[in-house]
Amino acid sequence: MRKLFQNKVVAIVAVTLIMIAIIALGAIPGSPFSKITKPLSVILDPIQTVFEKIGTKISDFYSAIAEGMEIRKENEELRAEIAELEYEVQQGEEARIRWEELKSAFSIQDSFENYHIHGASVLSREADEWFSVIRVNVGTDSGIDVSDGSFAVVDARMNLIGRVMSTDVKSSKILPILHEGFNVSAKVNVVNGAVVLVTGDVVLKNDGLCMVTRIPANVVLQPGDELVTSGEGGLFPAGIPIGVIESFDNTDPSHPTATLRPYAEISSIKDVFIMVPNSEDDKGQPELTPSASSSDTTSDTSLASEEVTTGTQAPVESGEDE
Amino acid sequence: MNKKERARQIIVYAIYIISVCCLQVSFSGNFRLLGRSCDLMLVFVALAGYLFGTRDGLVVGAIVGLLRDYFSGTVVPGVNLEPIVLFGVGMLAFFYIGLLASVLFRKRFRRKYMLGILQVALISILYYSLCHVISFVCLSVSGNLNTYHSFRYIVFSSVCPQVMINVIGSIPMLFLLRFVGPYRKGVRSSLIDGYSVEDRKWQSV
Repeated sequence: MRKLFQNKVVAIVAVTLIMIAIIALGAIPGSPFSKITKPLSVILDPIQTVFEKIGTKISDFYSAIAEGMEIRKENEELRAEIAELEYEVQQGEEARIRWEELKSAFSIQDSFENYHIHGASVLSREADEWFSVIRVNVGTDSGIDVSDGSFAVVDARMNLIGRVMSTDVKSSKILPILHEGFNVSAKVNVVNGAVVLVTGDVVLKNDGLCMVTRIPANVVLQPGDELVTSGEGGLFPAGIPIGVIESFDNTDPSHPTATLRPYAEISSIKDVFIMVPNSEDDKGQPELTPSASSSDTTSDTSLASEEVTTGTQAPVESGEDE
Repeated sequence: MNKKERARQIIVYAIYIISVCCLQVSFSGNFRLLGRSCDLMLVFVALAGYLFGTRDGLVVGAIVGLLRDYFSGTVVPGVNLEPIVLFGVGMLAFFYIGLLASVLFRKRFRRKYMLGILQVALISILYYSLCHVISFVCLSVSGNLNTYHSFRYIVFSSVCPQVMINVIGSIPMLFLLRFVGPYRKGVRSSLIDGYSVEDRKWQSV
Protein backbone atom coordinates (compact mmCIF):
# COMPACT_ATOMS: atom_id res chain seq x y z
CA MET A 1 0.00 0.00 0.00
CA ARG A 2 2.79 2.38 0.94
CA LYS A 3 4.57 1.62 -2.31
CA LEU A 4 1.38 2.33 -4.17
CA PHE A 5 1.12 5.79 -2.60
CA GLN A 6 4.76 6.51 -3.38
CA ASN A 7 3.68 6.60 -6.98
CA LYS A 8 3.02 10.32 -7.61
CA VAL A 9 0.14 9.79 -9.99
CA VAL A 10 -1.68 7.48 -7.59
CA ALA A 11 -1.12 9.94 -4.73
CA ILE A 12 -2.44 12.86 -6.80
CA VAL A 13 -5.49 10.90 -7.91
CA ALA A 14 -6.17 9.84 -4.30
CA VAL A 15 -5.91 13.44 -3.05
CA THR A 16 -8.17 14.60 -5.88
CA LEU A 17 -10.79 12.01 -4.97
CA ILE A 18 -10.65 13.04 -1.32
CA MET A 19 -11.14 16.69 -2.29
CA ILE A 20 -14.07 15.87 -4.56
CA ALA A 21 -15.61 13.84 -1.72
CA ILE A 22 -15.22 16.83 0.64
CA ILE A 23 -16.88 19.14 -1.92
CA ALA A 24 -19.76 16.72 -2.53
CA LEU A 25 -20.39 15.85 1.11
CA GLY A 26 -19.99 19.47 2.22
CA ALA A 27 -22.72 20.53 -0.22
CA ILE A 28 -25.28 18.28 1.47
CA PRO A 29 -27.35 20.37 3.90
CA GLY A 30 -26.73 19.38 7.52
CA SER A 31 -23.67 17.34 6.65
CA PRO A 32 -20.86 17.40 9.26
CA PHE A 33 -18.50 18.26 6.38
CA SER A 34 -20.20 21.64 6.11
CA LYS A 35 -18.72 22.39 9.55
CA ILE A 36 -15.20 21.58 8.38
CA THR A 37 -14.19 25.24 8.50
CA LYS A 38 -15.00 25.73 12.19
CA PRO A 39 -11.50 24.83 13.45
CA LEU A 40 -9.99 27.07 10.77
CA SER A 41 -12.17 29.91 11.96
CA VAL A 42 -10.61 29.87 15.43
CA ILE A 43 -7.10 30.25 13.99
CA LEU A 44 -7.61 32.35 10.89
CA ASP A 45 -10.16 34.93 11.96
CA PRO A 46 -7.95 36.59 14.60
CA ILE A 47 -5.08 36.71 12.08
CA GLN A 48 -7.36 38.18 9.43
CA THR A 49 -8.66 40.74 11.94
CA VAL A 50 -5.11 41.82 12.76
CA PHE A 51 -4.36 42.23 9.04
CA GLU A 52 -7.52 44.21 8.58
CA LYS A 53 -6.66 46.52 11.49
CA ILE A 54 -3.06 47.01 10.37
CA GLY A 55 -4.24 47.83 6.86
CA THR A 56 -6.81 50.29 8.14
CA LYS A 57 -4.25 51.98 10.40
CA ILE A 58 -1.75 52.31 7.56
CA SER A 59 -4.46 53.65 5.32
CA ASP A 60 -5.61 56.10 8.01
CA PHE A 61 -2.04 57.24 8.65
CA TYR A 62 -1.41 58.04 4.99
CA SER A 63 -4.80 59.66 4.71
CA ALA A 64 -4.00 61.84 7.72
CA ILE A 65 -0.74 63.01 6.11
CA ALA A 66 -2.19 63.48 2.67
CA GLU A 67 -5.28 65.23 3.85
CA GLY A 68 -3.75 67.19 6.79
CA MET A 69 -4.69 70.69 5.62
CA GLU A 70 -8.07 69.59 4.50
CA ILE A 71 -8.70 67.86 7.82
CA ARG A 72 -7.77 70.99 9.77
CA LYS A 73 -10.24 73.06 7.81
CA GLU A 74 -12.86 70.38 8.11
CA ASN A 75 -12.20 70.19 11.85
CA GLU A 76 -13.09 73.84 12.32
CA GLU A 77 -16.26 73.38 10.35
CA LEU A 78 -17.11 70.29 12.34
CA ARG A 79 -16.68 72.08 15.66
CA ALA A 80 -19.25 74.62 14.59
CA GLU A 81 -21.47 71.81 13.40
CA ILE A 82 -21.08 69.94 16.71
CA ALA A 83 -22.34 72.97 18.64
CA GLU A 84 -25.32 73.13 16.32
CA LEU A 85 -25.96 69.39 16.61
CA GLU A 86 -25.73 69.41 20.38
CA TYR A 87 -28.63 71.80 20.39
CA GLU A 88 -30.52 69.52 17.98
CA VAL A 89 -29.76 66.47 20.15
CA GLN A 90 -31.40 68.19 23.09
CA GLN A 91 -34.42 68.86 20.91
CA GLY A 92 -34.33 65.28 19.62
CA GLU A 93 -34.24 63.86 23.11
CA GLU A 94 -37.40 65.69 23.95
CA ALA A 95 -39.00 64.42 20.77
CA ARG A 96 -37.92 60.86 21.60
CA ILE A 97 -39.56 60.99 25.01
CA ARG A 98 -42.71 62.29 23.36
CA TRP A 99 -42.55 59.50 20.76
CA GLU A 100 -42.26 56.85 23.46
CA GLU A 101 -45.34 58.26 25.12
CA LEU A 102 -47.27 58.27 21.84
CA LYS A 103 -46.09 54.77 21.01
CA SER A 104 -47.38 53.39 24.27
CA ALA A 105 -50.58 55.27 23.79
CA PHE A 106 -51.35 54.07 20.30
CA SER A 107 -49.58 50.67 20.53
CA ILE A 108 -47.58 51.43 17.43
CA GLN A 109 -45.53 48.41 16.49
CA ASP A 110 -41.95 49.04 15.66
CA SER A 111 -40.76 47.52 12.45
CA PHE A 112 -38.88 44.28 12.98
CA GLU A 113 -39.11 44.46 16.72
CA ASN A 114 -39.32 40.67 16.73
CA TYR A 115 -35.84 40.50 15.30
CA HIS A 116 -32.56 40.62 17.10
CA ILE A 117 -30.13 42.72 15.06
CA HIS A 118 -26.45 41.72 15.17
CA GLY A 119 -23.99 44.32 13.94
CA ALA A 120 -20.91 42.97 12.16
CA SER A 121 -17.91 44.28 10.27
CA VAL A 122 -16.76 42.92 6.93
CA LEU A 123 -13.61 40.83 7.36
CA SER A 124 -12.93 39.72 3.82
CA ARG A 125 -14.37 40.24 0.37
CA GLU A 126 -14.37 38.40 -2.90
CA ALA A 127 -11.16 36.82 -4.17
CA ASP A 128 -12.37 36.86 -7.77
CA GLU A 129 -15.59 36.62 -9.76
CA TRP A 130 -16.16 33.03 -8.70
CA PHE A 131 -15.09 33.27 -5.08
CA SER A 132 -17.34 36.16 -4.21
CA VAL A 133 -18.77 35.54 -0.78
CA ILE A 134 -18.30 38.16 1.96
CA ARG A 135 -17.08 37.13 5.42
CA VAL A 136 -18.14 39.07 8.52
CA ASN A 137 -16.94 38.94 12.10
CA VAL A 138 -19.88 37.38 13.93
CA GLY A 139 -20.44 33.66 14.19
CA THR A 140 -21.98 30.96 16.31
CA ASP A 141 -20.46 32.48 19.45
CA SER A 142 -22.73 35.49 18.85
CA GLY A 143 -25.79 33.34 18.34
CA ILE A 144 -25.72 33.24 14.54
CA ASP A 145 -26.33 29.66 13.52
CA VAL A 146 -27.72 28.78 10.11
CA SER A 147 -28.17 25.06 10.72
CA ASP A 148 -31.95 25.59 10.83
CA GLY A 149 -32.18 28.16 8.06
CA SER A 150 -30.69 31.44 7.03
CA PHE A 151 -30.94 35.08 8.03
CA ALA A 152 -31.41 38.31 6.14
CA VAL A 153 -28.56 40.80 6.12
CA VAL A 154 -29.15 44.53 5.80
CA ASP A 155 -27.06 47.68 5.82
CA ALA A 156 -27.25 50.63 8.20
CA ARG A 157 -30.26 51.97 6.31
CA MET A 158 -32.09 48.64 6.52
CA ASN A 159 -31.59 47.99 2.80
CA LEU A 160 -31.13 44.35 1.81
CA ILE A 161 -27.53 43.23 1.34
CA GLY A 162 -27.83 39.47 1.18
CA ARG A 163 -28.26 36.41 3.36
CA VAL A 164 -26.11 34.38 5.72
CA MET A 165 -24.91 31.21 4.01
CA SER A 166 -22.72 29.55 6.62
CA THR A 167 -21.32 30.26 10.04
CA ASP A 168 -18.14 29.43 11.89
CA VAL A 169 -17.25 30.14 15.49
CA LYS A 170 -16.27 33.74 14.98
CA SER A 171 -17.33 34.54 11.45
CA SER A 172 -20.08 34.04 8.92
CA LYS A 173 -20.30 34.00 5.14
CA ILE A 174 -22.76 36.33 3.48
CA LEU A 175 -24.10 35.73 -0.01
CA PRO A 176 -24.47 39.22 -1.51
CA ILE A 177 -27.56 40.28 -3.43
CA LEU A 178 -25.58 40.63 -6.68
CA HIS A 179 -24.36 37.02 -6.63
CA GLU A 180 -25.91 34.80 -9.32
CA GLY A 181 -26.90 32.30 -6.63
CA PHE A 182 -28.97 34.86 -4.74
CA ASN A 183 -32.70 35.18 -5.13
CA VAL A 184 -35.47 36.80 -3.13
CA SER A 185 -39.20 37.13 -3.56
CA ALA A 186 -40.04 40.82 -3.88
CA LYS A 187 -43.04 43.01 -4.44
CA VAL A 188 -43.57 46.44 -5.86
CA ASN A 189 -43.85 48.79 -2.92
CA VAL A 190 -47.41 49.96 -3.54
CA VAL A 191 -50.73 48.71 -2.25
CA ASN A 192 -51.34 45.24 -3.77
CA GLY A 193 -48.01 45.50 -5.61
CA ALA A 194 -47.05 42.68 -7.98
CA VAL A 195 -44.88 39.90 -6.56
CA VAL A 196 -41.73 39.19 -8.58
CA LEU A 197 -38.42 37.35 -8.18
CA VAL A 198 -35.14 39.26 -7.81
CA THR A 199 -32.03 37.26 -8.67
CA GLY A 200 -28.36 37.94 -9.11
CA ASP A 201 -27.10 37.77 -12.67
CA VAL A 202 -23.64 37.01 -14.02
CA VAL A 203 -23.70 39.79 -16.59
CA LEU A 204 -25.60 42.44 -14.66
CA LYS A 205 -23.55 42.15 -11.48
CA ASN A 206 -20.63 43.91 -13.17
CA ASP A 207 -22.85 46.97 -13.42
CA GLY A 208 -24.15 46.53 -9.87
CA LEU A 209 -27.59 45.42 -11.07
CA CYS A 210 -29.93 42.49 -10.40
CA MET A 211 -32.39 40.70 -12.66
CA VAL A 212 -36.12 40.78 -11.98
CA THR A 213 -38.06 37.80 -13.35
CA ARG A 214 -41.42 36.08 -12.87
CA ILE A 215 -43.18 39.37 -13.50
CA PRO A 216 -46.92 38.74 -13.93
CA ALA A 217 -47.98 39.13 -17.54
CA ASN A 218 -50.25 42.11 -17.00
CA VAL A 219 -47.75 44.08 -14.94
CA VAL A 220 -45.57 46.82 -16.39
CA LEU A 221 -42.75 47.96 -14.17
CA GLN A 222 -41.62 51.55 -14.48
CA PRO A 223 -38.08 52.81 -13.92
CA GLY A 224 -38.01 54.17 -10.39
CA ASP A 225 -40.48 51.65 -8.97
CA GLU A 226 -39.28 50.48 -5.58
CA LEU A 227 -39.11 46.78 -4.74
CA VAL A 228 -39.22 45.47 -1.18
CA THR A 229 -39.07 41.92 0.14
CA SER A 230 -42.47 40.23 -0.08
CA GLY A 231 -41.98 37.96 2.91
CA GLU A 232 -42.85 34.88 0.88
CA GLY A 233 -40.67 31.91 1.67
CA GLY A 234 -40.17 33.00 5.26
CA LEU A 235 -36.46 33.73 5.03
CA PHE A 236 -36.65 37.49 4.58
CA PRO A 237 -39.15 39.52 6.59
CA ALA A 238 -41.54 41.50 4.42
CA GLY A 239 -40.85 45.13 3.70
CA ILE A 240 -37.06 45.29 3.54
CA PRO A 241 -36.17 47.75 0.76
CA ILE A 242 -34.20 46.10 -2.05
CA GLY A 243 -33.80 48.73 -4.75
CA VAL A 244 -35.41 50.50 -7.67
CA ILE A 245 -36.28 49.33 -11.16
CA GLU A 246 -33.81 50.62 -13.71
CA SER A 247 -35.27 49.22 -16.91
CA PHE A 248 -38.12 47.00 -18.06
CA ASP A 249 -37.94 44.63 -21.02
CA ASN A 250 -41.20 43.32 -22.45
CA THR A 251 -39.90 42.07 -25.80
CA ASP A 252 -40.94 38.56 -24.82
CA PRO A 253 -44.44 39.14 -23.37
CA SER A 254 -44.53 35.67 -21.83
CA HIS A 255 -41.28 36.31 -19.92
CA PRO A 256 -40.94 40.00 -19.18
CA THR A 257 -37.79 40.92 -17.29
CA ALA A 258 -36.46 44.03 -15.60
CA THR A 259 -33.21 45.22 -14.10
CA LEU A 260 -33.00 46.48 -10.57
CA ARG A 261 -30.40 48.70 -8.94
CA PRO A 262 -30.06 47.67 -5.27
CA TYR A 263 -29.93 50.43 -2.70
CA ALA A 264 -27.03 48.78 -0.91
CA GLU A 265 -23.59 49.41 -2.37
CA ILE A 266 -21.99 46.04 -1.80
CA SER A 267 -18.53 47.05 -2.99
CA SER A 268 -18.10 49.76 -0.35
CA ILE A 269 -20.02 48.28 2.52
CA LYS A 270 -18.03 47.93 5.75
CA ASP A 271 -20.67 47.11 8.32
CA VAL A 272 -23.71 44.89 8.04
CA PHE A 273 -26.60 43.91 10.28
CA ILE A 274 -27.89 40.35 10.56
CA MET A 275 -31.58 39.96 11.40
CA VAL A 276 -32.17 36.97 13.65
CA PRO A 277 -35.76 36.21 14.69
CA ASN A 278 -36.13 36.27 18.46
CA SER A 279 -37.83 32.88 18.51
CA GLU A 280 -39.82 30.54 16.28
CA ASP A 281 -43.08 32.12 17.40
CA ASP A 282 -41.88 35.56 16.46
CA LYS A 283 -41.16 34.82 12.84
CA GLY A 284 -44.10 36.96 11.83
CA GLN A 285 -43.95 39.33 8.94
CA PRO A 286 -44.25 42.86 10.27
CA GLU A 287 -44.22 45.52 7.58
CA LEU A 288 -41.44 48.05 7.42
CA THR A 289 -42.48 51.58 6.73
CA PRO A 290 -41.37 52.44 3.19
CA SER A 291 -39.82 55.67 4.40
CA ALA A 292 -36.99 53.63 5.89
CA SER A 293 -35.57 53.09 2.42
CA SER A 294 -32.98 55.27 0.89
CA SER A 295 -30.73 55.24 -2.10
CA ASP A 296 -27.95 56.69 -0.01
CA THR A 297 -26.24 53.57 1.22
CA THR A 298 -22.77 54.76 1.97
CA SER A 299 -21.25 52.46 4.52
CA ASP A 300 -21.59 53.58 8.06
CA THR A 301 -18.48 52.55 9.90
CA SER A 302 -19.86 53.60 13.23
CA LEU A 303 -21.18 50.47 14.81
CA ALA A 304 -21.30 52.38 18.05
CA SER A 305 -24.33 54.32 16.86
CA GLU A 306 -26.45 51.25 17.33
CA GLU A 307 -29.81 52.81 18.00
CA VAL A 308 -29.58 55.04 14.97
CA THR A 309 -28.68 52.23 12.63
CA THR A 310 -31.97 50.44 12.63
CA GLY A 311 -34.33 53.20 13.45
CA THR A 312 -36.22 50.64 15.47
CA GLN A 313 -36.40 49.41 19.00
CA ALA A 314 -34.92 46.08 18.01
CA PRO A 315 -31.97 45.12 20.20
CA VAL A 316 -28.67 45.62 18.43
CA GLU A 317 -25.41 43.91 19.17
CA SER A 318 -22.08 44.82 17.75
CA GLY A 319 -19.71 42.07 16.65
CA GLU A 320 -16.79 44.28 17.50
CA ASP A 321 -17.94 44.79 21.01
CA GLU A 322 -18.14 41.12 21.74
CA MET B 1 17.64 19.63 3.68
CA ASN B 2 18.63 20.01 7.32
CA LYS B 3 16.27 20.91 10.17
CA LYS B 4 17.17 24.58 10.07
CA GLU B 5 16.44 24.85 6.37
CA ARG B 6 13.22 22.92 6.78
CA ALA B 7 12.09 25.24 9.59
CA ARG B 8 12.95 28.28 7.50
CA GLN B 9 11.04 26.84 4.56
CA ILE B 10 7.89 26.21 6.62
CA ILE B 11 7.96 29.57 8.41
CA VAL B 12 8.57 31.58 5.24
CA TYR B 13 5.88 29.70 3.34
CA ALA B 14 3.43 30.22 6.22
CA ILE B 15 4.11 33.97 6.23
CA TYR B 16 3.74 34.15 2.46
CA ILE B 17 0.51 32.18 2.43
CA ILE B 18 -1.19 34.10 5.24
CA SER B 19 -0.05 37.48 3.89
CA VAL B 20 -1.01 36.77 0.31
CA CYS B 21 -4.44 35.43 1.24
CA CYS B 22 -5.26 38.19 3.72
CA LEU B 23 -4.05 40.91 1.32
CA GLN B 24 -6.13 39.51 -1.49
CA VAL B 25 -9.40 39.25 0.39
CA SER B 26 -9.02 42.44 2.42
CA PHE B 27 -7.43 45.04 0.22
CA SER B 28 -7.69 43.88 -3.36
CA GLY B 29 -10.49 46.39 -3.91
CA ASN B 30 -8.09 49.24 -3.08
CA PHE B 31 -5.59 48.32 -5.78
CA ARG B 32 -7.52 48.02 -8.99
CA LEU B 33 -6.36 48.47 -12.55
CA LEU B 34 -8.76 48.22 -15.47
CA GLY B 35 -11.42 47.39 -12.89
CA ARG B 36 -9.59 44.29 -11.72
CA SER B 37 -7.16 43.46 -8.98
CA CYS B 38 -4.21 41.10 -9.05
CA ASP B 39 -5.00 37.53 -8.05
CA LEU B 40 -2.09 37.23 -5.64
CA MET B 41 -3.05 33.72 -4.58
CA LEU B 42 -2.93 32.40 -8.12
CA VAL B 43 0.31 34.21 -8.89
CA PHE B 44 1.93 32.89 -5.73
CA VAL B 45 0.90 29.27 -6.31
CA ALA B 46 1.91 29.39 -9.97
CA LEU B 47 5.35 30.80 -9.15
CA ALA B 48 5.92 28.47 -6.18
CA GLY B 49 5.12 25.46 -8.35
CA TYR B 50 7.18 26.72 -11.26
CA LEU B 51 10.26 27.69 -9.27
CA PHE B 52 10.31 25.12 -6.51
CA GLY B 53 8.86 21.95 -7.97
CA THR B 54 5.88 19.63 -7.80
CA ARG B 55 5.82 18.96 -4.07
CA ASP B 56 5.91 22.64 -3.17
CA GLY B 57 3.38 23.45 -5.86
CA LEU B 58 0.91 20.82 -4.66
CA VAL B 59 1.18 21.60 -0.96
CA VAL B 60 1.17 25.38 -1.35
CA GLY B 61 -1.63 25.14 -3.91
CA ALA B 62 -3.83 23.03 -1.66
CA ILE B 63 -3.29 25.27 1.38
CA VAL B 64 -3.83 28.52 -0.53
CA GLY B 65 -6.92 27.01 -2.16
CA LEU B 66 -8.23 25.96 1.25
CA LEU B 67 -7.82 29.51 2.53
CA ARG B 68 -9.47 30.88 -0.61
CA ASP B 69 -12.43 28.62 0.13
CA TYR B 70 -12.45 29.70 3.74
CA PHE B 71 -12.20 33.45 3.21
CA SER B 72 -14.32 33.85 0.10
CA GLY B 73 -15.97 30.60 -0.85
CA THR B 74 -17.97 29.45 -3.82
CA VAL B 75 -21.74 29.43 -3.95
CA VAL B 76 -23.63 27.93 -6.86
CA PRO B 77 -27.32 28.33 -7.56
CA GLY B 78 -29.24 25.18 -6.72
CA VAL B 79 -31.92 23.55 -8.83
CA ASN B 80 -34.72 24.72 -6.49
CA LEU B 81 -33.31 28.28 -6.30
CA GLU B 82 -31.62 27.47 -2.99
CA PRO B 83 -27.93 28.39 -3.25
CA ILE B 84 -25.39 25.72 -2.33
CA VAL B 85 -22.08 26.44 -0.62
CA LEU B 86 -19.26 24.42 -2.14
CA PHE B 87 -16.27 24.06 0.15
CA GLY B 88 -13.12 22.65 -1.40
CA VAL B 89 -13.43 23.88 -4.96
CA GLY B 90 -10.60 26.38 -4.46
CA MET B 91 -8.49 23.72 -2.81
CA LEU B 92 -8.94 21.37 -5.75
CA ALA B 93 -8.37 24.09 -8.36
CA PHE B 94 -5.25 25.46 -6.74
CA PHE B 95 -3.87 21.99 -6.08
CA TYR B 96 -3.92 21.47 -9.84
CA ILE B 97 -2.57 24.96 -10.54
CA GLY B 98 0.41 24.08 -8.34
CA LEU B 99 0.85 20.79 -10.16
CA LEU B 100 0.47 22.32 -13.59
CA ALA B 101 2.90 25.13 -12.80
CA SER B 102 5.51 22.63 -11.70
CA VAL B 103 5.35 20.50 -14.86
CA LEU B 104 4.37 22.93 -17.61
CA PHE B 105 7.36 23.84 -19.78
CA ARG B 106 9.70 22.64 -17.04
CA LYS B 107 12.30 21.19 -19.37
CA ARG B 108 12.30 24.01 -21.87
CA PHE B 109 12.17 26.87 -19.38
CA ARG B 110 14.38 25.17 -16.81
CA ARG B 111 12.72 27.36 -14.19
CA LYS B 112 14.38 30.54 -15.40
CA TYR B 113 13.10 33.32 -13.21
CA MET B 114 11.83 35.79 -15.73
CA LEU B 115 10.02 33.13 -17.68
CA GLY B 116 7.97 32.54 -14.55
CA ILE B 117 6.00 35.60 -15.66
CA LEU B 118 5.05 33.78 -18.84
CA GLN B 119 4.03 30.81 -16.75
CA VAL B 120 1.76 33.05 -14.67
CA ALA B 121 0.19 34.42 -17.86
CA LEU B 122 -0.47 30.95 -19.25
CA ILE B 123 -1.96 29.63 -16.04
CA SER B 124 -4.10 32.77 -15.63
CA ILE B 125 -5.52 32.32 -19.14
CA LEU B 126 -6.28 28.69 -18.42
CA TYR B 127 -7.79 29.31 -14.99
CA TYR B 128 -10.08 32.19 -15.97
CA SER B 129 -11.18 30.52 -19.20
CA LEU B 130 -12.04 27.32 -17.34
CA CYS B 131 -13.88 29.27 -14.63
CA HIS B 132 -16.07 30.88 -17.29
CA VAL B 133 -16.80 27.50 -18.87
CA ILE B 134 -17.61 25.85 -15.51
CA SER B 135 -19.72 28.83 -14.43
CA PHE B 136 -21.68 28.65 -17.69
CA VAL B 137 -22.23 24.91 -17.31
CA CYS B 138 -23.28 25.18 -13.64
CA LEU B 139 -25.79 27.94 -14.38
CA SER B 140 -27.18 26.07 -17.38
CA VAL B 141 -27.56 22.80 -15.49
CA SER B 142 -29.27 24.46 -12.52
CA GLY B 143 -31.65 26.30 -14.87
CA ASN B 144 -30.58 29.72 -13.56
CA LEU B 145 -28.91 31.01 -16.69
CA ASN B 146 -30.67 34.22 -17.66
CA THR B 147 -27.79 35.63 -19.66
CA TYR B 148 -24.07 35.03 -19.92
CA HIS B 149 -21.12 37.14 -21.03
CA SER B 150 -20.39 37.27 -24.73
CA PHE B 151 -17.20 35.65 -26.02
CA ARG B 152 -15.85 39.11 -26.79
CA TYR B 153 -16.45 40.24 -23.21
CA ILE B 154 -14.80 37.13 -21.78
CA VAL B 155 -11.69 37.58 -23.91
CA PHE B 156 -11.24 41.34 -23.92
CA SER B 157 -12.88 42.48 -20.69
CA SER B 158 -12.37 39.55 -18.36
CA VAL B 159 -9.47 37.25 -19.20
CA CYS B 160 -7.06 39.69 -20.92
CA PRO B 161 -7.17 42.45 -18.27
CA GLN B 162 -6.89 39.89 -15.49
CA VAL B 163 -3.90 38.21 -17.13
CA MET B 164 -2.25 41.60 -17.54
CA ILE B 165 -2.78 42.51 -13.89
CA ASN B 166 -1.53 39.11 -12.76
CA VAL B 167 1.59 39.48 -14.89
CA ILE B 168 2.29 42.87 -13.31
CA GLY B 169 1.71 41.39 -9.86
CA SER B 170 4.01 38.47 -10.58
CA ILE B 171 7.08 40.73 -10.92
CA PRO B 172 7.38 41.75 -7.24
CA MET B 173 6.30 38.27 -6.21
CA LEU B 174 9.12 36.79 -8.28
CA PHE B 175 11.67 39.03 -6.59
CA LEU B 176 10.29 38.10 -3.18
CA LEU B 177 10.58 34.39 -3.89
CA ARG B 178 14.05 34.87 -5.31
CA PHE B 179 15.53 37.03 -2.56
CA VAL B 180 13.49 36.36 0.59
CA GLY B 181 12.84 32.68 0.38
CA PRO B 182 11.53 30.12 1.10
CA TYR B 183 14.95 28.76 0.07
CA ARG B 184 18.33 30.35 0.51
CA LYS B 185 19.41 32.17 -2.65
CA GLY B 186 16.04 31.36 -4.12
CA VAL B 187 17.16 27.93 -5.24
CA ARG B 188 15.90 24.56 -4.15
CA SER B 189 19.01 22.45 -4.28
CA SER B 190 17.28 19.15 -4.96
CA LEU B 191 15.91 20.57 -8.21
CA ILE B 192 19.35 21.63 -9.45
CA ASP B 193 20.67 18.11 -8.89
CA GLY B 194 17.90 16.79 -11.05
CA TYR B 195 19.10 18.83 -14.00
CA SER B 196 22.88 18.51 -13.49
CA VAL B 197 23.61 21.90 -14.94
CA GLU B 198 27.34 22.60 -14.65
CA ASP B 199 27.40 26.28 -13.81
CA ARG B 200 24.47 25.99 -11.32
CA LYS B 201 23.09 29.23 -12.68
CA TRP B 202 20.33 27.54 -14.56
CA GLN B 203 17.63 29.57 -12.90
CA SER B 204 18.82 32.92 -14.24
CA VAL B 205 17.72 34.06 -17.68
